[in-house]
Amino acid sequence: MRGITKRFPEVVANDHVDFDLRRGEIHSILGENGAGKTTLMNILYGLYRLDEGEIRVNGQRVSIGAPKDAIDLGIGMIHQSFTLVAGLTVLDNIILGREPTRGPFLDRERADREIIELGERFKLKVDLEARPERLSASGKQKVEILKALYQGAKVLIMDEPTSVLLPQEKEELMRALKEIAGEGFISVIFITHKLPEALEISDRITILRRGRVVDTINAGDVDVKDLARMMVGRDVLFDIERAESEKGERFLEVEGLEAFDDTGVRTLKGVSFEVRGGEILGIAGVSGNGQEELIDVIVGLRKASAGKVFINGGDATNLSPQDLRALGVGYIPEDRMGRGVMPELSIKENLILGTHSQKPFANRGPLPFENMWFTDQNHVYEYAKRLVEEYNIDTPSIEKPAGKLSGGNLQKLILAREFSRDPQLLIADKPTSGLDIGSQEFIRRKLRGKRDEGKAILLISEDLDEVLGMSDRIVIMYEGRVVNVVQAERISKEEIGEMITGLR
Amino acid sequence: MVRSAFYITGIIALTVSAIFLLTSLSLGIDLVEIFALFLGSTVGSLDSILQTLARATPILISTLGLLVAFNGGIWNIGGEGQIVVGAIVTVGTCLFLGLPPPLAIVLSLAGSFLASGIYGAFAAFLKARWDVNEVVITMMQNFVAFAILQYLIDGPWNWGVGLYPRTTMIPPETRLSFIMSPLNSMFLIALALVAATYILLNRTVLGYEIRATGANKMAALTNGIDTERLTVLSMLLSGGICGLAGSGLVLGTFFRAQAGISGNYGFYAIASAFIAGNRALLAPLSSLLIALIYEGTLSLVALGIPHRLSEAMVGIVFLVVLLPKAAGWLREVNESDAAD
Amino acid sequence: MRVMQQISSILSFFPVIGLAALGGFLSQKSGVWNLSLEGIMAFGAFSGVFAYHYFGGSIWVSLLFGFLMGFVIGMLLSALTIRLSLDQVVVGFGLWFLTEGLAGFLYNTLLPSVKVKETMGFRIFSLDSVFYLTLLSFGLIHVVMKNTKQGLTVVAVGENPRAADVAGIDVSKVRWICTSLGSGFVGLAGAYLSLVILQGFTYNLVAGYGWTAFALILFGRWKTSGVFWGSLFFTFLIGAQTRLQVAGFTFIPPEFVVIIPHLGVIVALATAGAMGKKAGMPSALGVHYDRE
Repeated sequence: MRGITKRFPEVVANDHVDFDLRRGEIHSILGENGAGKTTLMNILYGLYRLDEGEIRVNGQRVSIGAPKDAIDLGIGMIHQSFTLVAGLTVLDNIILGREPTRGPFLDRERADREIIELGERFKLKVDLEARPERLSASGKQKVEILKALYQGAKVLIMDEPTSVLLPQEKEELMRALKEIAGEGFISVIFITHKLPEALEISDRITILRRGRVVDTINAGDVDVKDLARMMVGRDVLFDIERAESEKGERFLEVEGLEAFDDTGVRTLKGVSFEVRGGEILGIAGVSGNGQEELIDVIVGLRKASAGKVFINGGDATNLSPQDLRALGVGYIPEDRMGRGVMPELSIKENLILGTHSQKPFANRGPLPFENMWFTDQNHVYEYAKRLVEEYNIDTPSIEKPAGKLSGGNLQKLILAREFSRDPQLLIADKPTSGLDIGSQEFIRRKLRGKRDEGKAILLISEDLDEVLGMSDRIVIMYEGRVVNVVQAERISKEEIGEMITGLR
Repeated sequence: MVRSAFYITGIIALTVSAIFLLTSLSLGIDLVEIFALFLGSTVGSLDSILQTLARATPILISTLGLLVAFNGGIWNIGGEGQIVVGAIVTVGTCLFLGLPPPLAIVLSLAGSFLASGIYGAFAAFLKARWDVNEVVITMMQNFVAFAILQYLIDGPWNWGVGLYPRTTMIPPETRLSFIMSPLNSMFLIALALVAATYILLNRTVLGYEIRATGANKMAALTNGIDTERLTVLSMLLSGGICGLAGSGLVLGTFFRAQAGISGNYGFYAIASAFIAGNRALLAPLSSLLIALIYEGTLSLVALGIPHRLSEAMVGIVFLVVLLPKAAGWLREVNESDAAD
Repeated sequence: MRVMQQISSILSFFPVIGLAALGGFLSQKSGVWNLSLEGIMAFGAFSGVFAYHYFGGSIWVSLLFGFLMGFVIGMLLSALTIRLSLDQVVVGFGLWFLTEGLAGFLYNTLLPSVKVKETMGFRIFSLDSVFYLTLLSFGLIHVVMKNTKQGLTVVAVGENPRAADVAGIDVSKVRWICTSLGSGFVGLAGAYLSLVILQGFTYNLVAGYGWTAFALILFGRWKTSGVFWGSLFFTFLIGAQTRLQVAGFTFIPPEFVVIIPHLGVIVALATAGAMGKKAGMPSALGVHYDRE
């Protein structure tokens, strides 16, 4: 792959990336989340179209417009979220797309034979009659690998394959991959952010940072420290100015919190920490290590299976979002379009979401009951006008649908709405991801301002510079647990980099 | 993509022209003559204008009902059934309760609102609680309502009307008065409902919450709105308003329940709400457009052109309104692309 | 002997319900709601009579033409929902109006009252070849769905288009083919209704059978065998009910017999929902698929 470039509306995900793969090698692509690893591989697999650059296979320039082209070229990909069809058996899933036939019919007997052979060759055992939804994550992954091999893959792309596995399963996977590559015909591309894994399994490692290749090196020539440095970089983007603020009361406390993700896997495995007024508590970690579920539980969108949440000393475990809002919890979600705004409604209407039923936006009109009934358009108008100005939201009119705003302005809108509710605790989930530098700075400044006012802030981010620069204390999460809690000024970026990738 | 939208619009436009040309050729009627008759019978005289408005009334009320649900993000396809339920309740109230006339009318309206509302809310409850597809349930509910009506007019409520499948007439005192025949006072109720629906959706807390739930359930939930409750409530209102249309058809138009009383208005209202872009204030216009097509094509029957043309034309309008949206939606999808 | 005759006469209606349900089933299996069954049947019915009148009076040619016109409408439905990613519910209703309206309209303008004189020649147990063709189609689709590459592909596209896509399957193409072919079957059902059962076109001849077919797909829990038995059961139900009524028996009011499938769907979906099951519904039904 030469000079691969892929642009999305607000970011360049891959910026002239060069990558090459030799036959029979295991080649890791290492990088933080958002470094462009998955984008690069999705291009190779035909899921994204490249904007610039070229791909050569065996020296021949090829054009890959759809997964079918990639499969025909012998490229197989195992995605982070599995792509198995729930209604079909494991056998049918494996042969999907390259079904053996006898006459017009499926030749399931032949398929059965061939898959068992493949499985024995690479030590991958699965129950072919089972339904994939009944299998464990590791079982599903084996099915995916067999599927790719059955489709004739000469190149196996594994996207963060260990994130869903238990330790012993991880060992098993590593062995199988070495087995596969060991025969010398099949190469493996191993995408990961975990340094020890990359070192353990790879022949060579390519490090990506912010969409660019840092270097491609032989795994034998480096140690984890070098890798960590290359992966997170040394460039500090903004000054750390941490005025001491008065630590206030303990506002949020979580104790032994556990929860399951949507697929029923326990991804949050007993997390405890506290956030005080006047501090920013950073949560550092690569996504998929339980942060999503943690946030969901705190804002009331997911039930905790064990553990407690206390707000201001009172038990707030598994309350509804309404109740938690009333207790003073504010939330800036990562998925702005999906959770943050109502794209088709106007900016004005989005700004009052959540406070719409309170004075002065709502009044009881001519009705005798105290419940708020009617929306006071003038108040809403004035209010929205003021917020749009105060938060620099760039729009020709407050009547425009929120969905038309750019990412930065959308985030400012959400910030404006959450701040104006005067929350005691603000949960900011990757508040600057995907934004331009100007908006990033604006949002960070506003968050710091809230801290200085004595509010509690929980900042979740994958950007280590941001976590280090913003937080007072940092909680480090790895595989659903808190592995460390540190004072921000007493730790270096490299050290955090090693902790979030499971090195320490 | 945008280009293919235009191609398809073109193909449909050509097809429509071809149909009209074919019609005039095969029947030997001048296109101009068709057009003149069409206009004359819908807006050509006071009588025809009144008739068109009368036709628009139930369509307008059902449109308002449906767009409450559509704003709440629920596909209420059950307008037909809810109209029928409203009609049944109204006939029952007027025939059997023996109430003094004004009370009978008020109670009929209230009863049909409530009954049809609950009928609709049933589907919403299933959707909110267990994510059961509401398109299917509301559509099936239509047939259940038809069957109940058919059963009543075939047997229990069919006294002495002989072989015709219909009920006895409701007492004259319980009928709505005419503003000017054939336009009855249901028309005024419909206009009041336009204002009420507009205020509900755009000026009240409840309406705001309905629209918030419809626009982005997850955002609404995250920000403290009880979306399950809202889903049920919006269908309660939606079904209730459609029920009023059914009640009006009994009280002001037919004075009895009979087969096909819902006149496909519940289905036409889907098109109407869609054309109005789910906005209450545009509903009178879209309903009028549908009523014009309905009445206009009805007049063409005299020339041997069957009334089915009405449905075909509504279908065409439907698709013509739909297509430019294809271009717009696609643009939004592309904008919301994100990295990784 | 009389009983046999009765049964054949009841069963002669089976192709109308069966073919329509099978057509809608095919489309839903691939993930596309076809809400225009009622209209497509009407249009197929018209097309059949149209072909009978203008193309030389052969029943087979006319039935084929009904199938073809259904197929064309299916292509339009595909273009609007798959290519332009428009909402399947909205498009379904638009096309329902359009096709049902056009059918009635065109019939009266182009073909003032055609009487079909021809009948299907070949018969076994006094049931014609279309009946057996319907049985064959059910059998064929059952086998295709279970035991062929094509069937596997369709199920995968309806359940998890993303998985199908990464397995190298062209999701749009599969949906396009299933929807169009399915609509063809629905058109054929309509043509059979007008040409063979009613021997002419009448207003409102479809009379809700399209929606009944729709209900039967759901009632059959999206399984070929379920749809088959459901269609057969319903055919018997209406046939037996009219005959018993004539003979003076009524156990359930006849008005309610015709909505048994519809009620069944409500009960089935509600209980499945309450028990947290999907009721066999293809997971991606009604969901547009875009790669990025």
